[in-house]
Amino acid sequence: MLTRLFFLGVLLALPASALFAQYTTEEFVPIGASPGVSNIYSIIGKIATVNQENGSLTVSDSSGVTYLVTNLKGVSIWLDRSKVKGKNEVGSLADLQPGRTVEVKYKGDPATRGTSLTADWVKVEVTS
Amino acid sequence: MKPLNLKHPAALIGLIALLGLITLITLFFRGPPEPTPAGDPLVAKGRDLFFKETFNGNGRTCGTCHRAENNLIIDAAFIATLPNNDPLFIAEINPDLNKNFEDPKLMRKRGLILENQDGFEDLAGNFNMRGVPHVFSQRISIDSNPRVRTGCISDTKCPRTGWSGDGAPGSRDLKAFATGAVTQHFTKTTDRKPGVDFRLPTEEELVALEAFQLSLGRQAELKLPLPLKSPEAIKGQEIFNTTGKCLRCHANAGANVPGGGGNSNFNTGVEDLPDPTGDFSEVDDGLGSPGDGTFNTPSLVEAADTGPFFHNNSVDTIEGAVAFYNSDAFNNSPSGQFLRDGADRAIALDGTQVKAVAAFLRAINALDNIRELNNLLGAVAANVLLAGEHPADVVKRAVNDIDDAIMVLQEGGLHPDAVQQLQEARGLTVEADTSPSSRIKLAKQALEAINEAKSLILG
Repeated sequence: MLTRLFFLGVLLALPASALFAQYTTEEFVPIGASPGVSNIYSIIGKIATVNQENGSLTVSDSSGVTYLVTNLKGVSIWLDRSKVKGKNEVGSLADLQPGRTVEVKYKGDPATRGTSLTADWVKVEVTS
Repeated sequence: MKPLNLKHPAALIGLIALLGLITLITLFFRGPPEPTPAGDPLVAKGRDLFFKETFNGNGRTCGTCHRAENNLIIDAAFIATLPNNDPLFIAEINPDLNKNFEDPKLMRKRGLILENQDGFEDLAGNFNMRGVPHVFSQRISIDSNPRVRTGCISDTKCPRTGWSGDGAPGSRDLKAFATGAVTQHFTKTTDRKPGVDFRLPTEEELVALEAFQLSLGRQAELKLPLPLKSPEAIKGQEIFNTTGKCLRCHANAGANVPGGGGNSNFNTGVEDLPDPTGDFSEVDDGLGSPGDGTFNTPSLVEAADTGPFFHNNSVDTIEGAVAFYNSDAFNNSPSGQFLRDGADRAIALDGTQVKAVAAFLRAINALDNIRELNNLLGAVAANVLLAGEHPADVVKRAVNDIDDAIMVLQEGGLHPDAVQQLQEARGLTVEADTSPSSRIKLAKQALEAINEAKSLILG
């Protein structure tokens, strides 16, 4: 009983949407190179459409599957400039433009993933 | 000159004697046969990467901070022995890194390194100074139970790495950790451009690095209570498991909570300790961004010879670390309040009890060093490459571990009889280092002395 209460204490101490800190080095990891995440807990493709107002976009991957990604207003968006040897930076919704390559880390498990995804973080390739 | 007449008995005897002498001299100075490979080649590859690979960065390797010769940590005393051109001091050497990369004063004074765990947008204003944790026993110290945690990578995986348990990008596990570490610590400039300022580890390299790190230290938890022989350590073990409440976070003196919860984070109030030195001006808010004040639980078996203690190296001795749990800072913290169990204070140990708990931690640390020495010197005695490491190098590491075992016992006034055996083992091991031809025999003798020491500490 005490052990369970102790766990409860730990759970209550953690905010429900804790942004894990050192995962901010994720900013400097190019699209497709996130260890244990890329193409497992993330999808990579080209942005087809963007809805800035409700914070969503559609992405088509290399096999032609199109995903609807939501929750973009609450997540980290990083600009991947590694292809032009530039400095990666924090971006914004405005940087998510049709035609750009994007990696979306989604919430949930790959086994139960459908084509509607809730974003956890987003990297977008920028070549300027 | 007359040719030698080998038919003459004296000449023949002389020649045989000369050949025999040459053979004896050759045998004496010839080392042992080449060692045979043993262990996992992936671990050997990982070791190589860990201590030698700079990832095209600023010259640092993982081993720059996790020093093989210093229990995989750095502390102020060890740092003081390093030459000024050591890559650890790259912030003092490289003008592109002399701002917002390290704090050389705190590094040299307290063994602290700079982390931008809340991101890199405000390098000057948003950073924390943390100690270098040992990386032993990670196989049994990182995983936590996703059913009782939040923010897990998946329903089945919830690893915790680093001082705030959030040390890795990607899948957030040990394999991914090196990616974040290279980005934070190996960069040539604070721009951190991948492919320019450093290169990221490949998938194969990450796998090898993980295999190496998982191979370090204990591979299984202790099963307390242990049949210790020191009355003080026995008392300390009892307090650890009862009134000291240590087992509530450190089951079996490891890094996990009891009952299957795995590794956890807690807010124990370390950040609320008074700071008369003025060294800790930046508040470290722990896990998350913004942080929730919690820090990750380390294993205690390895504690006594890997100080200083806590995420900011704020306590120097194991006795001080134990005594911390008597403090107002701990007892007023969320964890301290939770552990009150209806009393006024969670933990109230007197001085002798603090010392007893420390004696217990010293004893189990000495035993862990002995466990490791059995691996090291066992490999030397068997003349095998220990995961790619030559016995000649293993012997040097063994001397360090013997020194650690002696230190933790002597500082605690424990087991002078075992210390004597360890000192004998040290002499034999040092001799093994300098006499390759006798290395195998000396390693065997050292093992006997080391295990005799063990029998004096553990029943």
